[in-house]
Amino acid sequence: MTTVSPSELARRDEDAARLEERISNLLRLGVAASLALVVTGTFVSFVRHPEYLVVPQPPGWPSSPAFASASTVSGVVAGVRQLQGRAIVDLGLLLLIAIPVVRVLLAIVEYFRQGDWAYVCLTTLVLAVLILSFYAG
Amino acid sequence: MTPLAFTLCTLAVAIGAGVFGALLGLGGGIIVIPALTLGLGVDIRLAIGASIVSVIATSSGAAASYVRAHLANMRLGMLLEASTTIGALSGATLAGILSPRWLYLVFAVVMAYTAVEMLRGPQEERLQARPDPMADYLRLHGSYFDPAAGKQVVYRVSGTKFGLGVSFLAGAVSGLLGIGGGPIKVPAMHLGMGVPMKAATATSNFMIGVTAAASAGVYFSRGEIVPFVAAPVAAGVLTGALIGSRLLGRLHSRRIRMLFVLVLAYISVQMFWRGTH
Repeated sequence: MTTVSPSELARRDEDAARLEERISNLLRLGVAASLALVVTGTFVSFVRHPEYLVVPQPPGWPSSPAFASASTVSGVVAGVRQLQGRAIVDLGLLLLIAIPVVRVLLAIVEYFRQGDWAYVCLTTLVLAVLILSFYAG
Repeated sequence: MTPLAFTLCTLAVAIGAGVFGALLGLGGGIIVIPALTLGLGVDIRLAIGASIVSVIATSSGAAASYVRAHLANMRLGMLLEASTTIGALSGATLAGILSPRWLYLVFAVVMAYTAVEMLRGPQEERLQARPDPMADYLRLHGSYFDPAAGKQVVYRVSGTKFGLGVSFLAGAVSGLLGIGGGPIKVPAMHLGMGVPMKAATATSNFMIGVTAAASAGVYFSRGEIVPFVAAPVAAGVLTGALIGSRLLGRLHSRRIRMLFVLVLAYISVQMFWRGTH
């Protein structure tokens, strides 16, 4: 193992601490925003459809088209503009799904700035496989 | 059942799943799927869609605290993430070749064996770190403060190649068997790589969200992530994960390990049942 100077070690510690700080902040912020959207959307649904509070639904009701997801980004955006509760929930869910991907992007940028090439390669590989598997799926 | 009652029931289950998942480094599907399908009559496809949301919620909710507390080993997480995502991609192509029945049975045995090994704990010689130049090069070693033990825990990672191989396999089979990578990766890190139990579950939590995100995109575009099912799951699991991640530090590692043994035993029985029916 090659010897590492004390100043180099101190720099590494600072770099690691900054990356941890940034990733932790990203996760907190993302989680809080997603939770707020999901909860708001659910409230909006119940306020706009008071019958959901009292009228029992037949078994398997979540599968019926009345409760379906917009399932496309443009559909979600259109629904949010009409202040549809379920579209607001969808937006929160899309945000939740995006958090891990943004986390990988942030790691690539930070490792690049630190000149930590082994981890730039690793994290870029993860991102590439994620994109590939999304299109393969 | 009214949608309100459904939302409240799902929320309660999801909070439990979030606490449990955050403590053990699992996604919570093991609780969410049976509760939704057997308990609340939700279609299996929508339940799976909701469980993918649960995995991401547990991961991001718990990792926010674990990264800050140094419990999650980020470098180790990112390394194993790479091999597990490649594994997942190859698993999809394996699906047509392997017979699921045999895979279930093989896995039932592997999980039972892992449960016994976890019960015994890491062997003494494994605890004394073997030299691993790859772990040195990638700077995988870590340390964290353990409030339950009242001391700073310093550990050296070894068996990096073993860990890479197991995470690749975990990625490949999880899609085929319908289980997450946590039950495979946590024991691999703890027993095979010299990572303390708490750091292993926290690092697993950190990783599982990334693998799930790719499949979540696919499930969402297929319309299988339905707002009325996924909303209480996401909200409950996020809340539960925040509670669980604050609990982990205070619990004794041995308790976490024993809870994990029970989960492995349960999965083993489940895999055996699926392989023989």
